[in-house]
This record gives sequence, structure tokens and C-alpha cells, in this order.
Amino acid sequence: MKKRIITVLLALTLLLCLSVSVFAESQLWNITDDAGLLSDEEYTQLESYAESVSETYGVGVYVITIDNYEDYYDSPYETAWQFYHEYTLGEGEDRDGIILLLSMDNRQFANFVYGPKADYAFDEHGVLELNDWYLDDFRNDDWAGGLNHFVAGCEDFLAKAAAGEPVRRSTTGPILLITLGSMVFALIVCLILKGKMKSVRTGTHANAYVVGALNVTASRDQFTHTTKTRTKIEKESSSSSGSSESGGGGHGSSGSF
Amino acid sequence: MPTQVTNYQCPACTGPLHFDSATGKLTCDYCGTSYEVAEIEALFAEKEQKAAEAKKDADRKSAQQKQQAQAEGWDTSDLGGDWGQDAAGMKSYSCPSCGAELICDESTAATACPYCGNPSIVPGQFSGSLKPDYVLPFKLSKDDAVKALKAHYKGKPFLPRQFTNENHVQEIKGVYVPFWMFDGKATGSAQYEATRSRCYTSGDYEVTETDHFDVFREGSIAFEKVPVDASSKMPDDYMDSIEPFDYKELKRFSTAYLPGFLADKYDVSVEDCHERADTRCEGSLVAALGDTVTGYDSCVPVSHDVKLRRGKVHYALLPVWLLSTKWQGKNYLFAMNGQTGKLVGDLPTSAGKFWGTFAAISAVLTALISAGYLLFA
Repeated sequence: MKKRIITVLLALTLLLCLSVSVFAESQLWNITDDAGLLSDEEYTQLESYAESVSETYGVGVYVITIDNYEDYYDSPYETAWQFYHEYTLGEGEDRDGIILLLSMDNRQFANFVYGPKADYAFDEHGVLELNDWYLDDFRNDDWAGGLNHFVAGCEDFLAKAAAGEPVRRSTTGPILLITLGSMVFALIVCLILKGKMKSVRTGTHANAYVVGALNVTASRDQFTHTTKTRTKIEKESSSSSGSSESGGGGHGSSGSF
Repeated sequence: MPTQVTNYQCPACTGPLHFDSATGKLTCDYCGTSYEVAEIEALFAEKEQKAAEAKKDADRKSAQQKQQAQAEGWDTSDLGGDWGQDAAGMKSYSCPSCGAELICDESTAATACPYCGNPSIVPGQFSGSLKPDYVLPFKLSKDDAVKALKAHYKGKPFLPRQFTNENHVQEIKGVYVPFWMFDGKATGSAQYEATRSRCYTSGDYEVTETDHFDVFREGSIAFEKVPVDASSKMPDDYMDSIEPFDYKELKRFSTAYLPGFLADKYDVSVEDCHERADTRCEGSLVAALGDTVTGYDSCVPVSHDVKLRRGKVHYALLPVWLLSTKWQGKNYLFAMNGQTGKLVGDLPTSAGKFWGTFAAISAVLTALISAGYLLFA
């Protein structure tokens, strides 16, 4: 009887573990296509590409596609970092790596960056910029193209980081704009102040010498026509590169596509 | 040939009288006694009559002296008996106080003797049809004008420091400036294109519906005593800029208000001035009609048509303080309304201060916004 109870308890525990993670009993590869987005050929090619990039730069590049993140954790981002740690992903001692998670039922994505080397290659701005490489493909349901662009983007970012020139937010353009705006504002202020130096002007009105008030003898307001203009409302999400996230010992981003 | 001028003398001590802007009375420079304007007018009506007779005597005597000089054999044919063409714009008078000859512009009506300093009036300039209808007495003094000029310099960040430090007012003069005052009525109509818009969302679109209207307004507006300066010596824009004058204090004209100030008679005719008054009346009517177009999001004037019915024209002397100064070889003129104290005059701009302020504002703004951007973006 005791043995049976223990067996049942063990079976229940196993069942519980399985409900938390479908991948609990297997090791994750660089590409885990649980949602079945890729053909075998596409999968093989992408797996080889991701593996090669990971080995070249010492930073693991991972992709996991699932049906719905809600089957695992509360948010796509949490699901991404939980998987990353659960399966001990990453390259080297520090487990450097980046993982992209796609949740297909609700068309959500998240990525998670872990380890100092990965942090150097993908800072907060870099992660958002990386999203621009592939999100448009996903919006057009081009899954293989999007995932390829993700790996290609990672390769590009890692190559730049290896060359000592990681992708960083460009401050030149915005600061140039700020400088130009400040100069225009300053010029307006200066011209207003210069206008105070001039107080002599030819008179154009005789309002001070009006007797009584304006006597309106006729007044007509005639409606002629109506014009209509329609402007398409740009949805913020359609152009968004996602929002930054942190947690799980690293950082990343999440959003929808 | 010198002609007669009058100065108002104190009945008590015969010292020269001048109009005191603070009290509105004529005050003796020596004994300090003050007299009402009407009192002095009555006292000197008779004196003016005598002065006219004295002028005739002086003219006669002068002619006799000339004849006598010629008879005694001196050849004076080459001496300038008159000023030739230069005399066309000049007149000469004898100072009734010291007898000096005063050479004045032909429009000068009140001046001061450069030798004895006594204020003198040229009654002939304001006699008959040339007599002004009104005079607006000075209410503010020379000191008030200097204070107003100092106040005018304040709050001008681009004014060169040297201008205020080195600058000394070269001349301050109180002038009764001749003005034509036009009564009239402007009648007219104006057309506008006006719009009213509303926005709403329909599906994925933001829709803006704009209703267009043709707006028509017709009306009239009456004006009284629109002033236009009638002196060619006075810059028109300065005289426009020191307006308005408060006509409640207008007085019937009397030369008794003039002693102590300069005065000119008009030298620009009504015909040459009325266009300026017309333009201003038209501008006021069009603006007033435009103010009645309300309740729209936009209103664009399309056309207007204004007719002016001209009324009476009045001739008045209005009080103006003129202050002139020179800096770096350039003359700067300031004019102050002698009644209200409104002072106008363009000031020089320091290029260094202008560009310095520009650079400072630009730099501070750029630094602050850039720091904010780098910290929070």
C-alpha cells in the first residue's frame, strides 16, 4: 500500500513538472520550434546558422517558438528568461546568450539577454534596435525569414561588439536637432527683445478717436459647403519595436507582432 | 526787415512770464508771481495793439535811415539788403526785451531770444485764418522728459552700455506742434471666408469635417479729431507713435499758453494731410468689422470697400517734448507726449549683446535638453 502511494505521488509530481515545461526532459537546441513554424530544411539551416554564430562569438543565440506563453508563465518575457535558466542556456562560464521567444496564439514575442559579453553586444537600446531586424517579417507571417533575420542581426551585433564598436544609441542626430531647436528658440527670443528697441511706428488705426461704437448695418453668414478629410490612425503597436524589460538576472524586451 | 514780436511780461516786476506746465498758469521768472491765462490775455490784448503800431513806426524809421545813408554818399548798393533766396524761408524779428534781431524759420510762432533768453511770441503767425482752434497745454516739464528718457533706456538688454554711459542729451525742447484734426465717418463693407471644423474618429480614420462660410459685414463708425501733424519738420511716425492725446484738456487757443516753449505754425496743408487720416479711419473700420466675425475657427479677409465722409477739420497745437542726442556720429531723436508722458524713439542695438544673448540661450537650452535626453531617453 505504501509503495502504491509513493508511486502515485511520484507520478503526480512528474505530471506537475510536465505541465510547467514541455521541454523538461530534453535539452534545448539553438532553435526549438515547438509551434511548428519551420520546415525541416529551414530548421536545419537555421540551427546550423545559430550554432555557428554562437560558437564564433561565444554568445549563445537561441529561438523558442511556442503556442501560448500563458501555458507556462505570466508574461512572454518571464517565459523567455525562465526557459533560459531552466535549460541552463548560454555559452561559456558566464552563460552568455540571447534568446528569442515567439508565442503564436497571441502573437507576442520577448527576448532576454544574459551574461556580461551578451550585455556588451546587446544593451537596452541594442535589444530594441535588434527587434527592427525581424518584427516586420513576423507581422507578414514570414517566420523563416524573420528568424533568419534575428540570427543575422545577432551576428551583426556580435561582430560589431567583437570589433570594439557595439551598437549604441546614436546621440549625434538628436543632439543636432536639440541644438538647432535651441538656436531657433534663442533667435526668436532675441528678435522679440530687439523689437523692444524700436518704438516708432506709423499709425494704422484711429481707434482712440472713435465716437460711439461700430454701427453694424448688415450682417450675413452664409454656409457654402463642407469639406471632409480622412487621416488613417497609425496604430502605435504596428511600428513599435517593443518595450524594454528587466528581470531574471538580465534584460530584454517584449511586445506583439 | 525786423518785424515785431511780443513777450508776456509780469505786471508786477516786468520780468518775462512763461507757461508753467505743472500749475497751468503763467509764472514770472523773477518774482515768481503766477497769473491765470485769462488774466494775462486781457492785460496784453491792448499791448498787442500797441506793438502792431510800433512795428509800423519801426518800419518807417528804418526806411528813413536807409534814405539818409544813401543821401550822405555811402555806397551801400553791395550790402545785402535782403537775404535773396535764403530769405524765402526765413523771417527776422526784434526781441521786445533786449532789441536783438531774431532770425527764425518762417513757420516759427514762438521762440526764445538767444541773447536774453526771454520767451517771445510772433502773434502774426496765429492771426486771422491761421489762428488755431485749440491748444493742449503742456502738463509735463523738461525734468519729466529727462526722467522718461532714462526710464525708456531701462529693460532694453541690447542697448549698448556706452550709449547710456557716454550719452548726454544734446537738446531738449518743448514744442507746440501744429496738428490738423479730422472729424469724419467711415462707412463700408467687408467679406471674409470663415471655417468651422469638427473632428471625430470613424474606424481606423480620423475624420475632419470643415464647414465653409461666406461672411459679409457692413457698418459705419464715426471719428472725432483724428490728429495728423501739420509740420514738415516733425517726423510723421514719431507724432503717430506718441498718441493718443486726451482731448478733455483741450483749450480754446491763446498765445498765453506758448511762452517758455517753441511753437510752429502749420506748413503742410489739410489737403496734404487728410490721406493719412483717411488710411487710419479705414484701418479702424475694417478691424472693427472683422471683430464682429466670431464663432469660427478661422477667418480670412477677402475684400473690403470703405467710403469716407469727411467732416470738420480743426487746427490745434499739441505739446511735444523733443530730445535729441548723438552717439557714434548718429543722431537719435526721442519724442514725448507733453500731456501723457508717452515717450518714443528707436534705440541702437549692440551686436555683441545680441549675439552673446543668442549664444547663451542656445548653449544653456542645448545643454539642459541634451542632458535630459541622455538621462531619460
